[in-house]
Amino acid sequence: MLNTKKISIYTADTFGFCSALYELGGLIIIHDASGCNSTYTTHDEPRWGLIDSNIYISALTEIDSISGNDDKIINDIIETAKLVNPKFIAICGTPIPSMTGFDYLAVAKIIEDKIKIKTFGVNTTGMEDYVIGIIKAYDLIFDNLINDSEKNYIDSRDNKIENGINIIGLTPLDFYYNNEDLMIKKFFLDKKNEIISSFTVGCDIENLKKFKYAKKNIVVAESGIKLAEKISQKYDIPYDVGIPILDKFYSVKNLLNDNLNGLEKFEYGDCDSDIIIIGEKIKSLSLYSFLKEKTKFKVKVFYRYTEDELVEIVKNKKIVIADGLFEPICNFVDKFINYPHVAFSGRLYDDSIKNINDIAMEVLEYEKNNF
Amino acid sequence: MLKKIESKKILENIEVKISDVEFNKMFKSGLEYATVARGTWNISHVGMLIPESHQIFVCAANCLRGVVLTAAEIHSMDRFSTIEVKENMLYDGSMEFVIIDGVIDIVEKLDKKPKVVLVYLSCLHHFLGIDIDMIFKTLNDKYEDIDFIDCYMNPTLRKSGLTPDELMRIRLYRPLKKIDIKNNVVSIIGNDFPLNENSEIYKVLNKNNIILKDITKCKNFDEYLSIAESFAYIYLFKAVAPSANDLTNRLLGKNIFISNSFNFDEIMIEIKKLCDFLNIKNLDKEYYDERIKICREKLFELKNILGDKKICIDYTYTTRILSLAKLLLDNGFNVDRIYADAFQVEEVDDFSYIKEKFPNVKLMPTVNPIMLYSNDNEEEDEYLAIGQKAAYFSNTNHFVNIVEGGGMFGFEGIIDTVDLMRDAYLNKKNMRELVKIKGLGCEECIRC
Repeated sequence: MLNTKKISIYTADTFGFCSALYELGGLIIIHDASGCNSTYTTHDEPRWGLIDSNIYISALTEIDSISGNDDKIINDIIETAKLVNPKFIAICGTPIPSMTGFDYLAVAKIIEDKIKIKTFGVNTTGMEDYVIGIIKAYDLIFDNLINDSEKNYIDSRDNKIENGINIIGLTPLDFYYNNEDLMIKKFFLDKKNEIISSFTVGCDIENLKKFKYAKKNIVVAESGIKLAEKISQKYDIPYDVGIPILDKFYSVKNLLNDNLNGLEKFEYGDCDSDIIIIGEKIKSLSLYSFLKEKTKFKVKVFYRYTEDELVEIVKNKKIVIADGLFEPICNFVDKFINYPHVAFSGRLYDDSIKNINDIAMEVLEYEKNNF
Repeated sequence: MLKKIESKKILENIEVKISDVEFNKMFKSGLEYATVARGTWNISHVGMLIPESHQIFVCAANCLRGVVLTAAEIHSMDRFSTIEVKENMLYDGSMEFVIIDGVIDIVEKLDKKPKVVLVYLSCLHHFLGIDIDMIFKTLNDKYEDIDFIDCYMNPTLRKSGLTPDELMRIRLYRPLKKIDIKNNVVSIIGNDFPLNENSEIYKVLNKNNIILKDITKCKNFDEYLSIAESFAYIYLFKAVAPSANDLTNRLLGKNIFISNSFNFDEIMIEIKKLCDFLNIKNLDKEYYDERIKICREKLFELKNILGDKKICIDYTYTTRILSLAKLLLDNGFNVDRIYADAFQVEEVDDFSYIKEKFPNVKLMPTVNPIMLYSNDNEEEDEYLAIGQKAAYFSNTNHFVNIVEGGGMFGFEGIIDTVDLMRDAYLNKKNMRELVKIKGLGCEECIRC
């Protein structure tokens, strides 16, 4: 496969990992030379400069990579940790340490032994999709930061909060400039739910630890499915999957496949469709369900298809709903609706970003005016 | 997370007095922080200066992300493509063909064939030891009317020989081919912004009927190619020296470095150096006397307006920030703080001067992790800042929004700086909105 692109790319696992841990008070180190820090903080982290978070790069050099001078990163992390006193330390990876076989676990253990702060090494590669990075961060959170004893399970079983829910999959890469995170929370609050925790925006570790008192989990992005499944197995908390649109929650759990660990090409919907939706999987499927209910259009969702494939898929469709940076490959389409996605276009549409309700209304309006 | 009061204390410990440190031994290296201020250009911005060129970056997703969105933000996606490297490609021995086949695929799909294709390889390719010569020979043989230039986005090698910035400045002029040299044409090279036409370099060249070419003013590829007519190349940034030498070796035009000083005597020395080098007449003494008089008046006037207002400067404003600081200090301004992790070698004398005469001037780093907390701990608008990073760190909306010299030079550069400081003092800007824009001014400089 040539893997050539003329439009943007989805952000990488390294940045998904950082994004999911951003508000938890940790010291996060991207093991990289230079560039990863400014790319992440400029394009993929809308909270940078608004909410402080100790995320840095290791400033890796060629000679340190080749000679295996791991003492440098160990000492630099310890020095900074002593100053900022983090709740935990996480070291994540990029292409060069992945190539040279950097031993994340060993370095984390050395640091933890020396300064007695929980330290984790996670082998993100910078070559995978951001969803995988978020899943790795959720694994870290659940396995090491919030799920600490059997007593917890018994305590949680006996102290459930009526109407208590957790929202899982809520990171700025999928929900931010358009206030969809607030919209989702408001929807559930209006339905008299109490939001116990949200993974992981607007929550610290102490908030997250209360997740076990919830009666139900709501997964709003694909990145949250694996965590919801783990919580379901260990704490008997059931979960649903979907997004509220206008005044209704659209459950899409039964439309998903069984893949919990990452990304596979996925398509769902009508043959010979009028509308194509490209974007985050759970959002796309929720929008699909809404449009099937409210319009006469045939609708189909495509997820992680290549540029070349999409060029053919979208040809001659009535409507394509996708991030604005897909537009150059959407030729011969009646109407292109820009539904910005931070994980694809970063901050590019930060001043004009539309939320899923606006998109839904735009399609209804189109149908009303044209059919 | 650090509480405000604790971080303020740590920040005070990071700040050093110039009297207490040695030149370029101010701060320890360690983990690095990325500031919100993003106005400086990256290698993708710089490459866009070649008219009618197309860029192809070959790298992993996390590296591509920064440059692809750079191109999107300056509305240049039609001049930009990528080949995304996946993990399997690192180990199956296919990388040369991933690049060759990928580049061909991209070129074949372009509506209009570019004159030049800049193919940016990365750290990964260096570590893999791929056959770069074979790749570019294959591409150049296949497309006789396109010049494929190898470029590099390899920050892991930033301390191994030439920096990525130095390399990029070389590659920027590699499509130039040897043509007949004209004895009335020189070029300024390596600058991101057009040199101000009222600067002394322009004036002295105009006086001698010499044409100055500048990549930032080239409207099409042919104009760009005509840079090779130059009998001399002038550069203002030390990082351009390898590029200047490369041009001299390949195209024969000689080269000269002119330092962008803020010192009256030094400016005149530099202009004289240029005149001697080009064997041309200098500007009249009366001109210099008049400019010095105007500079002094302007500085005096500004000092009266600013009084003891605290001033801070950062290294992204110009290569000679210590020269600028010295000028301001000598004229009574309250230069309180300078943000730089290191200084240009040519600043060593200014460093010594300030250290001796103004020992209380403070220095602060820009990449130290604790700088994360700098903005939060500063009283808003206490400073007048010169440069974006200084503005962000000191939390002021009164700032001069220029990066990399902004095309200023010499006495006119001083006058422009003074006017910009005056404007910054009198008029607030929306600092947070302005400093986050990547590649300040790039969109106006690139043509097609």
